Parts: sequence; C-alpha cells; structure tokens
Amino acid sequence: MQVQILNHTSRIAFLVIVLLGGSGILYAQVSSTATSIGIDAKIIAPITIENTGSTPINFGTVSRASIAGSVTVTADETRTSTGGVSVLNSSSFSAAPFGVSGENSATFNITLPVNGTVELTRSGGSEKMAVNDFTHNSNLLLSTGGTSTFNVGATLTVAADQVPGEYSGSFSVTVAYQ
Amino acid sequence: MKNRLPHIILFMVGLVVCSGFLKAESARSVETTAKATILEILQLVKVQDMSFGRMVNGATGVVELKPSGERLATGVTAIGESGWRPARFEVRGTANYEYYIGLPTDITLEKDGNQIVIEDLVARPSSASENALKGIITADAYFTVGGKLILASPDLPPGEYRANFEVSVGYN
Repeated sequence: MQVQILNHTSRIAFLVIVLLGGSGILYAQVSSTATSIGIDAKIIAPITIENTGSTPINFGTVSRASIAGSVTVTADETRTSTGGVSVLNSSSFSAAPFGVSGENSATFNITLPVNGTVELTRSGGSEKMAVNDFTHNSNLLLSTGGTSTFNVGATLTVAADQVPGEYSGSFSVTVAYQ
Repeated sequence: MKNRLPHIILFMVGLVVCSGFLKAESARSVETTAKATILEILQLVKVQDMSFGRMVNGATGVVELKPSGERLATGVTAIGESGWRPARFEVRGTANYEYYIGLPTDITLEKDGNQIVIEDLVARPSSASENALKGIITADAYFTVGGKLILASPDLPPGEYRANFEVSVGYN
C-alpha cells in the first residue's frame, strides 16, 4: 500500500513538475523529507506605453507623380524619398514618439507591425498606401527612474498616379519585459 | 504525505495561475496613427509669349515691361499703341497650396550675332497684389512675367530679336 501511494504521488508530482518546469520545485516534489520550501517573489511595476501627445508618424505632403516611389521617415526624424515621389520640404513631418514606464533599470522588447499589415486609406475614398519597414530607436532599457522614450518611423509606398488626398491609418506598438 | 499532497498541488496550481496574471501585466500595447497628404501633379502651361513691342534704334536705354502689361521706355523711343505683352503661364495643381516660380537671371535675344539682354525678370501671380515669386493655386491660377530690355548700343541692326527661356514652378 505504501509503495502504491508513493507511486501515485510521484506521478502527480511529476505532472506538476512538468507544468511548472522548475528544477527547484523538482527537488521539493521527489523528496518526502523536505520540511520547508523557500519562496521568493518580486513584484515589479507593470510596464506601460503611451504615444506621447498622440503624435502620428507624419510623412508630410507629397506630390504625386507618374512614377511610383516611397517616402521614409526614420526613427531619428529624417525624411527621404525615392522614385518619382517628391516631398514638399516646407511640409512638416514626424516620427511617432512613445514613452515607456515600468520597473527601474529593466530591459524590454518592442514589437512593431510586420510588413504588409498597415495601410493608409484616403479620407472620403478607398484608395490605399502601404506602410512598411517600421523601425525604432530605443535602447530597450528603462532608466533608473523606470522610464524610457523612443520614436517609431516607417516607409510609405506611393503608387504611380496615386489619387491625391488625405491618407491616414493606425498601427500598434507593444512593449514587454524581457 | 497523503494528507499534504492536495495542499501542495493546490498551492502549485495557484502559483501557475498567478504567474499567468503576472505575465499578462508584463506587456502593453498602444495604437497610434500614420498619415500623409498626396497632392496633384503641378502643371505649368504657357499661354502667351513675351513681347517688348517695337522701338527705334539710335540711342541707348531701357524698356521695362511690367507683369501688369505696362511698358516704360527710358532713353529710347518705344513706339506703337499695342503689341507688347508680358509672358503668361497657367498653373494647375492642388488648390490652396503655395507654389514658387523659378525665373532665369537674364535672357539674351539674338539676331545675326547681335544681342540684346533682358534683365531683372519679375513675375506677378494672380493671387498676389504685387510682384512675387510665390503664388497660391486656385482654379484659374496664373502668373505673368516681365523684365527690362537693355539697349546697350545705339547701332543695333533693325530686325526681330528672339530667344527662348525657361520658367519653372514647384510646390513650396
């Protein structure tokens, strides 16, 4: 009976061990002589992110052309164009600024949209432009005060003879503790 | 052991559940926007050539042709009741946007190797009340171009002196 109980106990313990995957807990489960289990927990501040001032990635004003091209706004806020696209130098542009807060000196990851998932749509119409190659300029480290800022830039693809108008779209940025 | 086991399992299950909550707190997302404005192609169409009209040789001087169409002669005699006109261009693009005008520094007219120079070219956009190199695009936007014809020699051979010149526009 004693042997049967031990075997049953071992199977249950093994199941829990697999669920938890913890070697420290493994020792606690296979030892029937353990009298105490050390528990250590650290509660950390939740990580948060905000789009500072609700500022978008603004590619500015672009003159359409018969030749396709692109406009890139980098995370460091420089703007370049390729192909037949020309940007109005007088038009303002911006990368999207974000603020992160959380545990002091913690490291984190940033997840940006993958290519092919973000489009801008013309106001009052259905024409679209793709936004790809999102980049950021974060060092992925919260300060000793638990804050960090970074910008996100991207590349806008403008088709030949793109229909004029105001285009806008949305995208998500995710931060997570490493 | 048999009595403690359910408590241990319950405790561990609790840990697993709690760790799930903790993980959910460790990531956050925010949604924001991207935007861009696309403008019509800017088009420039010449609708009228520039002409200084007729003038008499035998003296040096200046004939000023203003974008408004007015002609003023200094030192030389300009004749005719009409026949002079500023160049005129139409501009098409996205309404209410500003455009700039690019003019040459000077233009050299020629006839059989003899030359007359036009200097101080100026433009007046339809959206402006005075000469300017910037205008606002409207449904019927245009600008006119004038300049000063310099007759540097009193011995210029009679005849028609001609030249072509380029004007450019761009969104400002």
